[in-house]
Amino acid sequence: MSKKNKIYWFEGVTEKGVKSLLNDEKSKYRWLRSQRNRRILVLAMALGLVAVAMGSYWPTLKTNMKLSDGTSVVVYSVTAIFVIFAVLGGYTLLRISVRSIADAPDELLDERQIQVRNTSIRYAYYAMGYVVLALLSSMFFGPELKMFKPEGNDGSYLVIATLFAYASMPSMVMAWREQDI
Amino acid sequence: MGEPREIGALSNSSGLLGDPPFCVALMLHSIYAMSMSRNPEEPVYNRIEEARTRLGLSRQELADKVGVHYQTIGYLEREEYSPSLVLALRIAQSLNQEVSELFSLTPFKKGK
Repeated sequence: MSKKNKIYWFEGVTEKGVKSLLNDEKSKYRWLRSQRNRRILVLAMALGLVAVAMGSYWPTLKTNMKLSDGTSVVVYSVTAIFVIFAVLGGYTLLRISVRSIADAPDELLDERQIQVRNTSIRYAYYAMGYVVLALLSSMFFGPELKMFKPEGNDGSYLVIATLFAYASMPSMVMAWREQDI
Repeated sequence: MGEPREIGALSNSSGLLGDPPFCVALMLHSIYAMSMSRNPEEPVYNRIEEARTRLGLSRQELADKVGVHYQTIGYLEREEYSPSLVLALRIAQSLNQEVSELFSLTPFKKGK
């Protein structure tokens, strides 16, 4: 009889999922494990997060680009869907590249992996401080710099980008720092 | 109590957070620390690889015996990670050696 797959709701992982990633040496994603490729993925993810955040500046961009209403709706919708799915895909690849170690609970990791995970979470905490600082700064200074247009923009994309950053930051830090994963 | 302050008023404050060189220096320090800091602790020298190959065990087999990931064995053999006492005892037991024969705070002499 197969053992029940335990779900770790707080960490957002499953027992089988983590175990399969920890032992997937013949996986088609092995190419992701080199430090160079992981770092490229981290940079792409950071660009993706900035792109999501830029959604909040769309009303200003639209005005600057002088697009008609019809064209702007199409460009906005296609770009938003593409960017959000690209970031979601990047997030999934990022977790695969670090074998979900950044999110796994203690009982699924060995002592070195726990140490690596804890260090990554510590640096992710610092990094998130800067993300939140940037978010708050843009909210405080944005209106003065006319980055936000008052109509039709509540800065929600900044919040979405921050949530993505919060979820992926430990994996990003781990993917950047570790030599072998 | 003072009068309530408007949020917009923060943007006119001249505190440290409004000082770009301070923020940039903080950010650069954080990035440097994240990229460069490594485990500064004293290395623990070991003869795990020698003992393991003598018994004909692969890294994966030893890892399964002691309950760690095979890469952790690699890290230990390269002396890039210092094991806990429990792990050191488990490894010594699996390799039929005393802990003092396997691990040392000084480098082992070759051929001994």
